[in-house]
Amino acid sequence: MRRTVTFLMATAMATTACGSAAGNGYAPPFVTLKGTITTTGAVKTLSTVRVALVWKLASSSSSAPSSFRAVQELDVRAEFPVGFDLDVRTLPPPEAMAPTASGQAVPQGFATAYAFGTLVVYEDTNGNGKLDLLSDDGTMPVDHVLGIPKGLEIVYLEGGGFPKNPNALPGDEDVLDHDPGFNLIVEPARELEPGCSSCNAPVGSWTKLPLDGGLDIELTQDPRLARALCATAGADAVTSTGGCQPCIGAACASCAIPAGAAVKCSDDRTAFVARACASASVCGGLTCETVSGRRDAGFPAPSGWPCP
Amino acid sequence: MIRVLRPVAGAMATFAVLSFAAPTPALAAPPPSSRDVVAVVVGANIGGADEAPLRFATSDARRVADLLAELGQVSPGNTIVVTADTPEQVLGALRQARDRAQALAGSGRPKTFVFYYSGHGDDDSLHLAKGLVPMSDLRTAIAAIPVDLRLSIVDACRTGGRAKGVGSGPAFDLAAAPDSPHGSVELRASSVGEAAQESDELGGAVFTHFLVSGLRGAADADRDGRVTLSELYAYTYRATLLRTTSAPILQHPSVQMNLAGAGEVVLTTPSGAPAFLEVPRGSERYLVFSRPSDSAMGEVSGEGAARLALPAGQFLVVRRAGSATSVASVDLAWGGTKRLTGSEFRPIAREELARRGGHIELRPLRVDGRVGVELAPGAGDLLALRAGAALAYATGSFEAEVEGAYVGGPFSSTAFDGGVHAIAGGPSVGLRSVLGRVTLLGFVGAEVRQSWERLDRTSAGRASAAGFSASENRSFFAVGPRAGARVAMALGGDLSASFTAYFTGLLRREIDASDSAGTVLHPVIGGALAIGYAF
Repeated sequence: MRRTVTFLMATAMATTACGSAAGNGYAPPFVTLKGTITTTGAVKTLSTVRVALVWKLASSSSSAPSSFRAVQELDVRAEFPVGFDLDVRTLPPPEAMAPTASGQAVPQGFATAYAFGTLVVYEDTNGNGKLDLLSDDGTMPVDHVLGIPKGLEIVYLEGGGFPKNPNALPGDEDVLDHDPGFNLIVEPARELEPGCSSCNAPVGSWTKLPLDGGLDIELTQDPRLARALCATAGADAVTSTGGCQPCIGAACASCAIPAGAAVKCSDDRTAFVARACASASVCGGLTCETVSGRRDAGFPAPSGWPCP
Repeated sequence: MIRVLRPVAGAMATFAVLSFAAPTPALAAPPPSSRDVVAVVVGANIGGADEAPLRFATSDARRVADLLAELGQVSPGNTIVVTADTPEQVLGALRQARDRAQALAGSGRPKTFVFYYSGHGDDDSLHLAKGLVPMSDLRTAIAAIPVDLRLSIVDACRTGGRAKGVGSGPAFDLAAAPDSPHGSVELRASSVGEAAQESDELGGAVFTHFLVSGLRGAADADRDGRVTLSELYAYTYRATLLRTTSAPILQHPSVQMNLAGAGEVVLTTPSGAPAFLEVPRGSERYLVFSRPSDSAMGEVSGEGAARLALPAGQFLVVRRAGSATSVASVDLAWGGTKRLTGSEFRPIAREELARRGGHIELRPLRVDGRVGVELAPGAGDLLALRAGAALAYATGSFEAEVEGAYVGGPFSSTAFDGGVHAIAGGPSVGLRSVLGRVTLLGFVGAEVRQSWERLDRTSAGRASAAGFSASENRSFFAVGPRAGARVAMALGGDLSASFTAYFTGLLRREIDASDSAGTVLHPVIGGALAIGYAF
């Protein structure tokens, strides 16, 4: 017995000291995405949630709808806040790769192809262990998207990087260096500014996160998150209809604000912008109606003014 | 089954001519121990230009000379051994024998002369490389030797009227006392028209082999410790005939006697030998070889006398039972009697028992060249080629070996392609069963393996374009138990062919899908074909 134990110990030591073989499932990660999931309390009843890396499929036609594919997923225990490490062991699928310059020579060191992706935190409603993407005609999502990192772009480059443009404006993405491989880029939020009805002004600037840094994902019950499940997401349409014309003096017409519109007022309450969005289906194109108005501060607010 | 390897049809026959003068009045003629014996023993492998060289004529002559010294009480100084090329060598030896016999005239004991010849011949003469010895000259020279008993054994071809063998010429005259057996006896290895045969297995002429064995006691049917002429003939006739039933040509030893007087002619007295070997009763036959010279001493069967007289020494006994062969070592260095039992024999594969010119060699060592395939279910290196060599040592039912091999094959996993190369090997021990030409073996052992993996990402080009390492080189060590079974078949000579099926459980450190390394048992099954060479 003693000899057997000695032999087994010697064997274990020998095998430990002399390298490791690659198992059949061995696939070292290219990158590990770390993050923290927080919640407003709406999903506390869940025991687990899943995190999926979703790539936007490239399209040969710029007018074609966008498509997504989830390639890697991870179970996360739903005790929020919770950290997660998602090992990215495969490269974006070939169909997610888009050429940086079709038919044109790419300068030395520049990427020849790229892909965009993001993370999706979802509830695996049907329990099949994968994110179920809906097609165009899907009316209800199978799985329940709980959150996506706000403004996050996972940019993957092959053949080189994208060096930053020294002449870029702060709101341009090319203010950043993009390296070959994976890049975590956070797009600044864009909000409508009262008094500038057509402006989606960036809030902050483009930022690049370290690969081993943390990503924050807040879980909400925003029904628009369901769009992250769409295999083919319809193109958005933003329209500006009616609303208040700029008031000159006291001559202000009444303002017709769309039902359910979100209204943002200026600090001095003399300008507003309101937007109401709707979609025929979960994956259909998003149609938004924007209404804005401005009045002269020396006159009383007209009837229906949304910023009393 | 013993195979007669070298029938020499029409080219050689073996027969013996016994002519004697038995002067004593007893029921049996005086045994050699009470006589003064002078012997001339002649061996000639090379005969006439149109005759195929013999392989065992000179070695047969040496065996007979040894036997005469051992059991025939012939002193070394009175034995003249000639490897003859010329007639003068033979006739000169006979003149020398005559001189010695004359020198013994004053001893008062009966005197015997023994002449033995092994080589080519015909009705009229002995055929030597450089001339013929006419039978008339031979008889004249032998008759001139002043002895009481003349025993002539001529071992040569006999094909009757075709003039290729020594015929049944007139026997030598006997100078015997009136009340002793006297007359002439002619003992032949074959009948008219038959060719005699040599056997590689027996290491000599078939008839001579049994002649020697019989004189050593295998012919002692009444177990009285003496081998008489009639016992010897009965034994050699039966043994030679039985042995040649599997050969292309049957040999029927024949005898012609012209005897007068009373009593038996005692040729040898095995009871006076210093050592005896007794074999179990049964149909098995036992070939006895001396060690370390490995020369054949004789053969005995459990159905007959079951006892063989031997000089003191070490012996190897080969037992034949059907197609099975087994061996036993016997130590009779201090003389005495050894009674062998079945349990003292250990089975042996045919290729491990080499027979060369009347000598035998045990070949416990074997080297195998092996090639095969391995299957590792669930591993990236699912299929691999294995090629290597093994050195094995076998004794009885036990076999041990050390193997070294190269193992190589492709690697494929979810993320990588590539190849694996390894040096593997280890010891094993096994138990075997020898069933005629087939040997079955079950074995257990251990294997150590040092492997080198070359892993290329399945998307190596893209990974490289994205700045990632596209390949990995890994090396690792593995060790584990090994077990299997082997079936081997003797191909003849020193060669054997075998197939081995085995299972190996290799313990190795392995990285799994979650990047954690742990020691895992890695099952491998394999099969290999081999060619073995025993030495």
